[in-house]
Amino acid sequence: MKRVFPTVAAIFAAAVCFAACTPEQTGTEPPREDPDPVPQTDEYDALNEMLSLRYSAIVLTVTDTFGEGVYLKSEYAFSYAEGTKVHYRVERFAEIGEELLPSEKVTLEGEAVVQDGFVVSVTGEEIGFPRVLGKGLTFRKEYFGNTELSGIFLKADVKDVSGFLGAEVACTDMKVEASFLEAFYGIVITYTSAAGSSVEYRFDFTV
Amino acid sequence: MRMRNKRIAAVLGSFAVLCLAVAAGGARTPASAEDGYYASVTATAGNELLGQIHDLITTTHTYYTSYADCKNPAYVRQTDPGPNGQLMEFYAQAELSSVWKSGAVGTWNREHVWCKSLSNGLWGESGGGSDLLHIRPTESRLNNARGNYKYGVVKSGSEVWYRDESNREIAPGGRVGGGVFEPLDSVKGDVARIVMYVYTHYNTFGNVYGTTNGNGASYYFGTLRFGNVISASNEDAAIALLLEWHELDPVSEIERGRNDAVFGIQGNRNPFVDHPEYAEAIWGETDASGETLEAFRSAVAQIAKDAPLSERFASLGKAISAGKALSEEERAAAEEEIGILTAAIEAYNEAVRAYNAEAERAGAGAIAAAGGMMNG
Repeated sequence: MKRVFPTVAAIFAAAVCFAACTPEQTGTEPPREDPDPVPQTDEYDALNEMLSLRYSAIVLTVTDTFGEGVYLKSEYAFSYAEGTKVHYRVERFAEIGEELLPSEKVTLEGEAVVQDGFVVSVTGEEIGFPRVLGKGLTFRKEYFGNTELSGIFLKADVKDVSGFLGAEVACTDMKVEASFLEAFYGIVITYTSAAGSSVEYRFDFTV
Repeated sequence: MRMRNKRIAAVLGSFAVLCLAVAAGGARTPASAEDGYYASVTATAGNELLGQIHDLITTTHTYYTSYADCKNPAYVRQTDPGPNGQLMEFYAQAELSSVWKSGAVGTWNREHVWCKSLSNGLWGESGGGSDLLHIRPTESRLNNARGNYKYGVVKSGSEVWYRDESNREIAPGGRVGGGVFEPLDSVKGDVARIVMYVYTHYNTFGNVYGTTNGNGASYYFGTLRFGNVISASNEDAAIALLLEWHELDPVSEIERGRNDAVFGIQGNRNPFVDHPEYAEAIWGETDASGETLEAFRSAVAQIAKDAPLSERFASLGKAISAGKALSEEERAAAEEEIGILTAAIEAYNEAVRAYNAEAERAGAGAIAAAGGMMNG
């Protein structure tokens, strides 16, 4: 009897271990909320590292085109002395009011200070600047289709908008073109908005 | 007993005067302009306003006073009271005795502001010639100095004075020269508003776009022109001078009080005392709601050049900017265009709000995309 128990115990332990290490043969595996990351290729890792470089200046220009010659253009200039500051100049169309002004654009201008992903202060004219920033752009192979990638440029259709942008945007036909070497020179993202306007984000980097 | 009889007699005498006033005018409580008298006046400018005012002041003129009424102490004390219980003289704006002495020098008589001889034969001493809103008490010598001169600007002349019965100069009453009488500055507006009242009331349908003469006898009404009583090169110049005097000398408390008093006797009022803006609205270049017209002019000038309706607005804008008074048809067309313009502006502003909202969404997306760079 003494010899049988150790053998049974060993067999039981082995069975437990086996059951723990192998997936069940019947039923479905519970979904994982945080799937393990798919291993990245070197090229996309390098692009993400370029995003985190300290550039002397980055200018983001957003152009929203509504028709022939009708567009709004906004600029956001980033600087990194004493924290991150974003100087913005945002165009809006002017409504015809009591003074019956001719139709024209107005420019709203101001400066936001960013610390640890939060906008801590805004001076100047309010534009509805978001107080909590997203994680920003992320380059991953599975986010793109029809991809052309070399050591100096990326051109692709964006299949996963929220994953790539770090935010939800109602749009169709998003595309990206990026030029780089050791650092980014420029990134251009275009899409058609849900309202039908053509939107372009243009990032210009200065090392 | 004698004292008691005197007191009774005094009371009875006062009562008799009151009865006389009631019998003569069907006494009305003097009313202010805000008591709804002008409720029927809905027009804002031009001949339409003139016609509505004509209808109002003729239909409410229920008692045509006689020339004798015009020297009735009971009426005169109501209409032209002086500060010390006597009469307020019209041209000198000074007090004189209210005692009627048949127009003796230094006493008062009845002045036709719009002279009988300049009335195109419409009145002597009845109808317009005895209208309490027209006839004024004046010192007889002053009345005589004015004579039947037209009102106007005296370029070269002499001052005329109100003198008392002892021939002493009491107060200046105007200037005469070159066949023209020029009242004091403080009286010019009074004269202008009386002239406008008479013109509006007693013109016939052919000249005034009204529909009725009320209960007035037909021979009270006829053709009147401002140039009959105003010294000017033409009718437009006469109107311009009246409007100038009307503005130079605004409505006074004396005029307002007089308007209320006469209303209680005759039943009608001088609308140019209650609503001074009517004068410019009828005879000037802008309507009573001048701000509205000015706003529309601005709208045409500013928006028409950008709006797809520009051709239609431009032609209307040119007419307005040329200072042309709008007829009824033109005003109706202008109001319709204002409605169209207002709708176009609102549609434009809705599109602007939609565009700006879209731009804001695009900007928010871009800022999110730049989030990582901002934390660099």
